[in-house]
Amino acid sequence: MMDGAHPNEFDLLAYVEEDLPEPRKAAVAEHVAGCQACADSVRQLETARQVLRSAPLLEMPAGTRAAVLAGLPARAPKRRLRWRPAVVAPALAAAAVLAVVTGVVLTVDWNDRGQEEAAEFTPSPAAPATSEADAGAEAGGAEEEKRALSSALRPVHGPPREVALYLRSQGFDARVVDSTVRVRNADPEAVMRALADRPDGPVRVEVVP
Amino acid sequence: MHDPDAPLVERAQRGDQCAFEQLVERHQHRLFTLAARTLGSPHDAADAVQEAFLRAWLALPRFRRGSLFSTWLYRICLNAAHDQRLKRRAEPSELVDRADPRDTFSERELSGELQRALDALDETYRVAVVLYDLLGCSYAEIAEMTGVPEGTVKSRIFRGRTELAQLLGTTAGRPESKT
Repeated sequence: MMDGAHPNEFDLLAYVEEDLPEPRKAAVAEHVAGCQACADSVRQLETARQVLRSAPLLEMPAGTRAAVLAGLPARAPKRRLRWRPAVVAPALAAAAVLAVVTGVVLTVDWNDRGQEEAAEFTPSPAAPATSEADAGAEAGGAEEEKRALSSALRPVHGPPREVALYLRSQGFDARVVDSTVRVRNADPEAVMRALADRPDGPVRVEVVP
Repeated sequence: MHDPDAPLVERAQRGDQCAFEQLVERHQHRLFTLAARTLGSPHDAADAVQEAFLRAWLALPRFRRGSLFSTWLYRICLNAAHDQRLKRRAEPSELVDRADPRDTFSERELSGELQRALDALDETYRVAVVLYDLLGCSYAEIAEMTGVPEGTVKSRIFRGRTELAQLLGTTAGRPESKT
């Protein structure tokens, strides 16, 4: 294999990882024993491996987990009926005609429809309850202090994640924390101007220093 | 290929958020470690992981068997981390990020000697050694996640490790900023 030539990096890595089959393993071992450069490489590979493998996993903060779960829009693949005016107007006209012709009164329950659409953007009921509890338990006084220092703005239509992403696209440092869109170091009026076109809704928006 | 996540993935693909929540539980710390070690900041990592889980949830109906869910998820996380790095470059003023009192352990780890050495590596080397040595992924999984042949993965691990050892060697005598 080598005849005096240095083993390549694949052989050296496999040697350190003990993946190298005989007789190549013995040949590399023999070379490394007599070659300072390759012995250095082997030592470096082993040192870095040892350091990396003893590094601990880093725990994802509970607040991030809560934000992940709160930011998930519901996927509604079955019925994605949109009540756009172009669709609604003819439909209402047709319903009215039908009502006149048949004498049957058809009602469109706008409130129910509105709730259904809102539900599409609302996380599952169980998720935020537990995650907010987790976050609250960990956050303690610091979180309360942040809340106290923040200024709450007009709640807007969601989902929170979409609001935050939109604000980011407008240059704000916005993120979702416990279902609330938190904007840092921003002029509250500028934030509200950016959200002026967004209708009222359940998503809290606050500016924190 | 047996995927331990398969039953939960199937439910989550049908829109079951509780199933997805369990997948988040299972993978959150490893994903956070991947993002934090490749980005070097717990705040950027939190943003990247949040984005990664959102993208995964939205893309889940298109996930096909043939690769492990975890491999697919890590790839999404790597992309989100890459995007986060670009965003950070575009907005360097945000670099001054206050420490979150909840993240003291991560903060300490990420301000240590190992992280400084990782930060000094080429991004491709850093990703390779974090996935292989820190998270225990196989060459084949890393190849799939990063879209390069296994030989390239091995080469990156070789170079990442040797450079890392050199960097750790040259900084070993310096005082640590750890508290």
